[in-house]
Amino acid sequence: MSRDAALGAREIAKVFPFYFTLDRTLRIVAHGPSLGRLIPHLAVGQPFDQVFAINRPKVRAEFDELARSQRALVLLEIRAVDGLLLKGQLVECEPDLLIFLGSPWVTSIKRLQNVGLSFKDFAIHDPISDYLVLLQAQRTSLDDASRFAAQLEASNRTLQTAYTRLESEVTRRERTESELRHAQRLNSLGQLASGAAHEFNNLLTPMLCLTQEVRDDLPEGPVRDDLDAVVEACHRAAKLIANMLTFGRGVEGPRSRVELTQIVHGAAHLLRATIPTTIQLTSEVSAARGLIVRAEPTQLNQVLLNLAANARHAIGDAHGTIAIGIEAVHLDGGTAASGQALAAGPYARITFTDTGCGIARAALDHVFDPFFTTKGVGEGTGLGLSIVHGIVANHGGRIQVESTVGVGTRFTIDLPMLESPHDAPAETDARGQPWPVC
Amino acid sequence: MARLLVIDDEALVRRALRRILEGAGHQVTEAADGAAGMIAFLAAPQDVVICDMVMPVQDGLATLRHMLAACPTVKFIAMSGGGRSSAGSLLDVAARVGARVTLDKPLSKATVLDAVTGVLAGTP
Repeated sequence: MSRDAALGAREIAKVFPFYFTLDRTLRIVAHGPSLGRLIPHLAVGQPFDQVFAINRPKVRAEFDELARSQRALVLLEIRAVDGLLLKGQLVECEPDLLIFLGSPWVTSIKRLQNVGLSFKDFAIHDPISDYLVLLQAQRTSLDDASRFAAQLEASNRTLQTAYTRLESEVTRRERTESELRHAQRLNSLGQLASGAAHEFNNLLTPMLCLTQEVRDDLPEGPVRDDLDAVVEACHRAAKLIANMLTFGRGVEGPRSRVELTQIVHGAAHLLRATIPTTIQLTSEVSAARGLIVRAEPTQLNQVLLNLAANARHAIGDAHGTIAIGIEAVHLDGGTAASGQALAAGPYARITFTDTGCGIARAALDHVFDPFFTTKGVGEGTGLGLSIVHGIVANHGGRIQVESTVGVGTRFTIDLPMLESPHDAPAETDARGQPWPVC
Repeated sequence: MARLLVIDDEALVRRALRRILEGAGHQVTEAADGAAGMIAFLAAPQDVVICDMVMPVQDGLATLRHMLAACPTVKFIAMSGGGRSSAGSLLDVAARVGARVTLDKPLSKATVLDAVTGVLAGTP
């Protein structure tokens, strides 16, 4: 059986009448009828390079080299026919069998006539099959185009999503870093404050005790009054130090389960009695009934009253509003006031909003610093908000502040939630005990 | 009149306590740290010990534990300036370990005398 019989020699000859096949020794095994007509004396078994010279690609006439250039356009010079080229491809159709698929490179009809060829020597083109081929090609390229477009669109969407994620990740990281820096600064200030407080308490002890002792030894009179003034100053210094210690987290009282709405009710009750009637106080907490945190009730009271003292100062003599809100939120993380990482989970959020004068951008970074104050001499110690910060840190929470000059200020406090209203009803031992505003 | 041992690393605090306690008719022995306080406590019987918490050599809590081991009925008053190493809770610990009274510094004449009178009368 001829080796090319397996290919369907008749079919190939119909489509490629100029075909020929080569075996490993580069001898011609078979060829199409038109090629026989074109090349006189062409015979099966003839060596390839006796008949052809390779014009392109630039390879030697060896089986393996030709087999490697299957994708290349092949131009063959026909030695017997001067100046006529065959154009096509060499394909390894079976192991050790190359087939040339192609035809003369037609540059003019006249040239064909000169070599004794006419159109009938070329493959038959049926208009309908040509049309179908065209259609198929068009459909394929349209399909390809729309598939590529869809792929492009999908990767574009993926890229867009990744970019958005990256952007929010960068923002989140920047925010966390700035929160961390802030917390670390406050932390070292807190350590400084508590170290100083310890020393001052030691030094105040002899000042207070000895002054009282000497005073008690003295009869009534101006010197005794002077020493009373010294004692009074010592007491005031002691109170200042106690506040510094709260900021520095040196004081911890008993914690209990606290229902936040009760704390806010207690504080609001006290505030209504003390703030001027030009300031409206609203507390929207009813939806948050049953939110339980683990806290020291008196300290939470102090947080609200200190914030209220600041809000009242910010509103001044103008008409204004102080609004306190509580809600349950879920946090994905962040930085706690202590500088530790905030665990993801449920938190009770207290918002404290005033319509006061607002805080300038430059001052906003320092509001929690001890002894930072915008109030006049004698109006405030600059410890109020640092105490608030210390208490929130102490309770494992986070405090944030946002402010617009001329519009107002909002403090947001997030405390780890012990129970939400959806949990079993719980009795609480929180008592909203009033605490003097510092 | 009672015999009192004052232990504090701050000489001015010891001096102030000596002044008001002697003024109230008591006899005062001083020690500058827990170890020295322990020696004084074992050398002569004391009615009341007033002891600082944050001290070098031997701190107040260790001193309290040693004294309780030597004399379970010791009337021990713990005091602290707070601050460093969350000393606020140091006093809580001292109270749980066995201090009869805890005092936050700064001390005033009245708080010291009230505390001493209280522990002497057996009402902490």
